[in-house]
Amino acid sequence: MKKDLHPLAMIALIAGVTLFGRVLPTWTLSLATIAASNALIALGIVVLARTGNVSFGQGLFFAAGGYGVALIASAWGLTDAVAQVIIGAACGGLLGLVVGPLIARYSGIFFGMLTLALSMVFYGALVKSTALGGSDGFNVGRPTLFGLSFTDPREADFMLYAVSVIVTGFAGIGATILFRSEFGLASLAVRENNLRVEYLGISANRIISINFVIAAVFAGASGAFALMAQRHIDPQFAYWTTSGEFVFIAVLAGNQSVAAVFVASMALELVRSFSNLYLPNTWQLVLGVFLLGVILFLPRGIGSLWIRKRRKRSNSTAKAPLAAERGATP
Amino acid sequence: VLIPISALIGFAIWFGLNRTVIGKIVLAVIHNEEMSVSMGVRVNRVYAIAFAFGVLLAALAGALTAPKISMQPGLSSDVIILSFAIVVIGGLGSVEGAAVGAVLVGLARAASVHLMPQAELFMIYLIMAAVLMFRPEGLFKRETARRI
Repeated sequence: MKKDLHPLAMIALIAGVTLFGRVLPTWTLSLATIAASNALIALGIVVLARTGNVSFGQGLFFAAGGYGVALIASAWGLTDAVAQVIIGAACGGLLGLVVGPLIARYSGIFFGMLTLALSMVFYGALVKSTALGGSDGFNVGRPTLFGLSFTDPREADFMLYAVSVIVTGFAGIGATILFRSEFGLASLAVRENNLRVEYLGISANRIISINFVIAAVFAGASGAFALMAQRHIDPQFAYWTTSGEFVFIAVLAGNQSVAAVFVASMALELVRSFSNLYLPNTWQLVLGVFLLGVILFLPRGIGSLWIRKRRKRSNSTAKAPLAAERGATP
Repeated sequence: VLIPISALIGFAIWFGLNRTVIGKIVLAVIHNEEMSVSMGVRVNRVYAIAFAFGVLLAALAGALTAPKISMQPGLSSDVIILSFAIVVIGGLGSVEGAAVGAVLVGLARAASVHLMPQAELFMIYLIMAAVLMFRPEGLFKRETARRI
């Protein structure tokens, strides 16, 4: 979080990145779309992590957004990309509104495991529901934008890239403003000591719930992007390894900077696809070494590369699930 | 062979953690790290030994179960979730809780395979959610004082 960067400058940055997509080769565009979508959901996890809770079940909202969009698209033929993002965000947000207050009183590993449990129950339900295609899922049509349909695959890729970068960028700006706001500081206070926050007359549960809903909205929108990029949805969206990957991006980024989330997501996607390309048999090994390297040498995440200010973290509950995640990623 | 060995190890760990000086030191470190340092406990060493011991148990579990199942590199991910679920059901830091959680999860899974095969996938998670709904910190929660 740079203190000096004005929101207007960030908007200019988004516009620049979007236009830069015109000169990028096609394969980079789809890569960047996935990276932006992953960054969006990881941003939600970072927002939530600032209250000291790590959600391992963001796949729940990811899948809810994706399935909501896919069902509406196949039932009513709605293919507009922006509308789909809004629907995805709304689906995620509504589910978050239901789940958030229920789950806000848990903390640490119990919070993480309960979110994971919910997303796995959802996964199980999706696998068993034949109406939704069971474990194979189903396909949806190509997205359009404001009534324009894109037949040229390059144009379609660019459209998707532009929409995802712009939405994710605005989410990033929103998150930056949120982090700097009173509410964002109160969230940090909840992480440090929720009892003290309660004594000061602020409801810690409410702060966690609101952050949870924000994370759910981001995850839902991200699910819509993943759906549009793949044009296919299956229950894997809700599986815990999917959620784990997003947590990993958040861990790589650290919780000090919004920009770090984007960098981490892009770096992870690049390392993954390049190692996949050149070392098809040992790409997991390369990915694992990369992740290990970042954790060993930048224990506070990629954000610590340009954020000098060191905040002391006296919280040990947030570390436990993160350490577990380290072991979980193969 | 598995059940007596795990019961034996479980009892040994419970005894070691609750009835010996080493166990008391470990609990003290968990309870208040800074205080333990000032009392002359080498906290980092305790962490390292505790981690090594956990790894030892995991390796032992792997070695003992290997003859019963088919081994593959992706084996780990299921075990991670399963063991976390058991620990969460039982309550963190409680040996008896882990034992009860393990029996509960194992029986529930077997029962759901037998009675309701379509629920087998998420039976564990349902149980975990149900337990946490009524006991937010697991079945056997260790009473802890917390700093205000």
